[in-house]
Amino acid sequence: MRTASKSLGAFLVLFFAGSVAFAQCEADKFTIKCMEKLATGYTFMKSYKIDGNGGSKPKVEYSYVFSKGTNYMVTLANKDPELKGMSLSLYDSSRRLVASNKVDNKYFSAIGYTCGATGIYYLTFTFDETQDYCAAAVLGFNSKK
Amino acid sequence: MKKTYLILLAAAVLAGSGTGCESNRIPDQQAFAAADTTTKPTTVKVSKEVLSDIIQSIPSPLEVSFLIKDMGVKYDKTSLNSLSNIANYNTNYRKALNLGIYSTDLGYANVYGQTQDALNYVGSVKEMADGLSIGQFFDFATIKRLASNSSNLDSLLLVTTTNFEKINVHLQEQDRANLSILILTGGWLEALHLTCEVVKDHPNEALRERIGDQKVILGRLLTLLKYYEADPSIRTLLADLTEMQKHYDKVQVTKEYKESTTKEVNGMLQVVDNSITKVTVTDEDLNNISASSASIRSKIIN
Amino acid sequence: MIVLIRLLELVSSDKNFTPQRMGIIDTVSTVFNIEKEDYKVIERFVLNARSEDLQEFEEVLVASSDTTSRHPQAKHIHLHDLHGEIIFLRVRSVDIYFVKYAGTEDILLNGLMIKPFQTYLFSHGSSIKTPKSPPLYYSEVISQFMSGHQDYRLSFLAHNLEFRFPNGGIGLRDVSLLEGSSKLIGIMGGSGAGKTTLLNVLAGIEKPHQGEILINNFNIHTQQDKLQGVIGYIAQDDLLIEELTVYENLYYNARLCFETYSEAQLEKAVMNVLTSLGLEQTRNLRVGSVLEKTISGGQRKRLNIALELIREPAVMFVDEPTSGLSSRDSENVIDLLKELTLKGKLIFVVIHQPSSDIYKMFDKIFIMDKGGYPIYYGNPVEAVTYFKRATNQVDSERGQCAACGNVNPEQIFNIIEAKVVDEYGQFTQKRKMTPLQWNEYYMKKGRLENLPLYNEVPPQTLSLPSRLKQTLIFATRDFFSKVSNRQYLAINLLEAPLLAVLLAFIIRYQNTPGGSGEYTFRYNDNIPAYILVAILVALFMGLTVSAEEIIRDRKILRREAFLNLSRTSYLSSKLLILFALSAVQTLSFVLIGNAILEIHGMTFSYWVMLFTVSCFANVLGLNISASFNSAVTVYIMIPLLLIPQMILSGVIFSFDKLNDDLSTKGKVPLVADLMASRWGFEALAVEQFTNNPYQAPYYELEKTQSEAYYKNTYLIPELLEKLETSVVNHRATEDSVKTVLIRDLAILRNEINAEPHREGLTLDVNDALTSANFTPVVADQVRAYLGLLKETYSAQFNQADVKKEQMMTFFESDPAHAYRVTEYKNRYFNEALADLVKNATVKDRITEHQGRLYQQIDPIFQAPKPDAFFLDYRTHFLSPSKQFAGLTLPTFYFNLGIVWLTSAFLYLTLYLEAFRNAFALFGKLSFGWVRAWADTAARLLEGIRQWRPRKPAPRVEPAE
Repeated sequence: MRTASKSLGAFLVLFFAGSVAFAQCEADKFTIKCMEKLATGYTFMKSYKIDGNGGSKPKVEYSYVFSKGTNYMVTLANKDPELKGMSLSLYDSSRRLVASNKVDNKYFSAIGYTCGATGIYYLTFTFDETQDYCAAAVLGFNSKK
Repeated sequence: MKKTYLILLAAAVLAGSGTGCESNRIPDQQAFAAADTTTKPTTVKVSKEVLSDIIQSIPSPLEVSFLIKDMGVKYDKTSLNSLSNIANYNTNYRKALNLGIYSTDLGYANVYGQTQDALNYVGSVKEMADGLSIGQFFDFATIKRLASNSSNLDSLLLVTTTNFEKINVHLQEQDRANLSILILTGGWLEALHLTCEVVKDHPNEALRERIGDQKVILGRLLTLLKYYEADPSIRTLLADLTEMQKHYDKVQVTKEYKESTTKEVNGMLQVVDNSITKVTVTDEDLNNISASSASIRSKIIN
Repeated sequence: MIVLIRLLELVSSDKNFTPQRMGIIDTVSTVFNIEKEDYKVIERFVLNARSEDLQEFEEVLVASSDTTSRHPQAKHIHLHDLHGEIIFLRVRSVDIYFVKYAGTEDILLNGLMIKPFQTYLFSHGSSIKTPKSPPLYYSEVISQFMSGHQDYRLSFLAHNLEFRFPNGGIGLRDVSLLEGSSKLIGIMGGSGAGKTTLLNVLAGIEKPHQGEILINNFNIHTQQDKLQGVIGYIAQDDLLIEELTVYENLYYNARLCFETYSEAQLEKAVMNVLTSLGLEQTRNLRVGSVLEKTISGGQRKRLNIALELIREPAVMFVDEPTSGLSSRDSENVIDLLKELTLKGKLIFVVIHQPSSDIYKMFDKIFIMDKGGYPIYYGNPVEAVTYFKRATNQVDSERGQCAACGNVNPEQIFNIIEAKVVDEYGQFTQKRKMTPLQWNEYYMKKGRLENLPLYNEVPPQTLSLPSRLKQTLIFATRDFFSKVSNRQYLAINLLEAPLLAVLLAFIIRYQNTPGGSGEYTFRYNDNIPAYILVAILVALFMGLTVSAEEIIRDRKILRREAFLNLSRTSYLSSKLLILFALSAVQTLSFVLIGNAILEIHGMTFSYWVMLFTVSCFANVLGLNISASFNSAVTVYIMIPLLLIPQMILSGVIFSFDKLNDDLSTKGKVPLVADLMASRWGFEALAVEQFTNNPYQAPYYELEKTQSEAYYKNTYLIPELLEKLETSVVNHRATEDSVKTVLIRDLAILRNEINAEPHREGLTLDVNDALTSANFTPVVADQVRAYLGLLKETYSAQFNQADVKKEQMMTFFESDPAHAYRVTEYKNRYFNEALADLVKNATVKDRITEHQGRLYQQIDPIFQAPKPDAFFLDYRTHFLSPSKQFAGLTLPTFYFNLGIVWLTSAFLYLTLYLEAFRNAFALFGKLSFGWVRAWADTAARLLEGIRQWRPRKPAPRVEPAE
């Protein structure tokens, strides 16, 4: 049942196609990419449009309450298939870095996270090595251990 | 023949006048204008960004539904809000709260693959949304098509979740964030109520902890609702939730921080948070929270 | 009087006249108020056997074999071969006749033997038959008493009449007549000879193609005003109102004729006529239909005559008064007519196969032959000898049987239509004398009798009531005739409540969501359908009730046409009755239907609208009733009229999804504007939605919200999209892209121009938004304006939203209102209707058409666009208000007005008989005409086709 099938991808394209606007940053396009990357077993929960306030800010932060014992996954996408220069840092409520997608100068486009303590977490997206402030991220969850 | 007719006619006249006659004053705009209530839109002294950020952080009620289902608990329709209550929701306040409640119910029915119930809740959600002039975000036909086949669950959840995202964005854009908050509150409350109901029959530590964990979210919701204290309906709700918060104050949460570990699995980073929280909820607290949620909910839905 | 005679007879039987006995009789006569003079006569008449004893009295008629009267005072009739004498006595004061016979022969009075020397009442229509001499008729006897009493100065001249039928056949050829008063003229002829045609032409019903008819030198076709009421016409068919009694039939007729008469005078006049026609016994019987007889055929016929007689026209035309009557009834009727002529009337009678006795009663006979040829005009008995002589028959000088005095009119027709016998002795189809030959023979014979021609206006008794009074009389008559028809009344009064119960009961269901088994008005999905069906029921009832009205009255109307009664009054009376019936029907429907479905607080609105629609149907029904000849045609017409009302009601088929040739984007199609159903439904749907007690206080606020919602959600985003597309397209050079650009900019221009909020608009839209001047800078300015507009509407929406919430809270908390939103909404608000008037299910919320964007949702909240020209009333369907001539009117009242206006127009067509005339015109077009038209059209088309390629039209470049 929980298979992110190909048909879902096709459906996504259709679903968002209607809402593609003529804005500067077409984040919806990347949202679809992110959803396709969401691993099997994960349910889509939230999408983040990271256009840096119309492409002006290199850093965007969202908060979310993660629950203990739940597996979360964040997928990212921009126009670069390698996701160059696009980093995500996850901080806990005490602003301690819990996770990051940048390991050894490599940007991972998907990051799984198993929560141990319920609380507010901060998802901080930064554009490090790119001038194109346009990307999207998707948050999914999987309650199975 | 003529007599029967006359009797019939007389009966009809009586029936017509008997029911048509109002003993009370019929509301009209003049009466309201005469009462001279100032009609200023409630202005909120908080930036859209702050509101938006808090709103964004409230977790999806779907998490709880999955949790319950994955525990092997059977689907229980009686815990959900009845469709017949829909006639009672005629103000924005109630429409918004119950939009949240019905959307949680919709997610719950969806997670359990209860196609018919899901369809019914889609209808209710749609009606509430139409009543709030945000119906344009529900492509009813698509949702209906997806909901009629349980193999489309992923797509269905995706669509409904996306719709709610859009609604939130829209309401905030339109200076109607109060509705957004009420929708979230309703959805959260219903999820809490469902969890409490399940715990009653299926005592489970994880669920108990999950209930306790809602302390964080309740706090955030109260923060949001306080911005709209000027609205008399919200004031009442705020008072009720503040009561509930008193029970939550007794819930103890301790946290033990540990560095998280990261490893690469199939080209994907897998991070495990090694911090541990301990949530202590006594039976009494649990009962109080449960009773409180039930009473607030019943005020909203009836 | 009768008692007196019987007493006298009793006394005379033993010839014992004691003073005591005479005293009793004297007392009786005083008690009964019998005048002394009369008593003296009666006494003498009864007590004396011989005419000699009565010779000093004027009021005595003696019939005997004497050729001349033996008494200078008394009147005399010569009856040869009569033994003894028959003595008639007239008692002048009461106008009663008595008869006694002094002789030995068997004399029959009305078929019964009379005893000699006994006194009998000689009542109306009586006849006396003697063994050898011709019978004595009442009229003949009366005429002796009456002759010279009333002699109208009257001349009736028909001059060289020729008449052609619509199909071109000739109905009359060169017919001339001249008659004075006191004549009974028989018109005879084989079938198809044109007897009825002649009668109709003479009576002025049909207009001759040549010749003229003058009554005292007034042309009956052109100077009707001078001849008002002079002509009476008694058709072959009954012209009676079957539901009324004999008396009522006459009474209303009299009321229509004599405005000046008091109630007592009217009653007296009616009773007089009834008595004189021997109908006084049957006066309280209902006439009944031909199949369901309550009075005899003879009585019906006499009543028909009475209807004309009561107003005493000087000239009467009677079409086959004896058809279907027994021979005795026939004789009675003709005798009655004869009696009338003796009072000075001129009467033309079409008669078919008269008996000898009837035949001889005519003063003159006019005989027609096939093809409208006049072939005889003169004395009836002489007619036989005339035809015998013409064909050189034996015994040609004898007109009647010498012994019995009988004339056989059949004999005449045998001669006229005698067939040639072939060599085998068998009759062939060929006539010995053709109609033309007979006609030529007749023409040779001579000219018209020399009679005085008068120039004065003929005597008139008619005094017509005013139009209003006529209306009331017509209406009363109609009312009583309807009320007396129990079946009709019951069905018409029960129909509406029955349908209401049926409909409402069926569509009331346990509909509360969640299946609690209760009924709530709010969740009855059938309310829109109920409104439509209610409208259709009103139409149906209105149409069926009226569709037959005029057809049924047509014959009566034809008779009354001679009275010059007002058509307006007649039609008004019809409308009065029908409207009243419709009012009752629709009221009972609404009361019951709305009560069952729990539609509260809307009774009056529903009733007014349904009544209006029903009245419209009434007038429409009268139109078709006046346009067609048979009830069957009319009932075939009903679906033809009603089904379009359903199709174009706007409910069953959406106005947006009709054939493009019919529909106008954003407006109700014009063809639907002809439908009362569409106006009625719209009015009720709008009224029910906007003015129910729940919705009313919030309607304006929701309207504001709806406008803002539409602009923000659909219009502005659409415009923004067009703007962005234009930014992309404006540099393109391809024609196809240019077209798109021009179109998009036109829409932007038009929609921004139509926008009332203009703050933040920094440029001249008409100049900047053109393909020549459009630049990204312009786009930025427009974008900024639209952004601002969006905020304006957001604020507008929220303000209304807050106000509405506050109002609800206020009403709920105010003790004076005892208001619960949910309760009110359940009670007064209907979700299905709301969905309908908000067009909630429409897929395309906004559509583009010819440079404009059209709002598809919330028609109920969408005020009509003000760009219409002055007299343009048209709006989208279910608009809350209408604009006309600079006024904004609520839809309910506007639609109400429209339906009444349509009804008024239909009244006009009814009055002018527009449809009937149109159909008649259509009927006149023969196939030849059609072919000629088709040929002309084909030639024209061919011409156009050949002309076009030679001179191609210059291509017009599309202008900006």
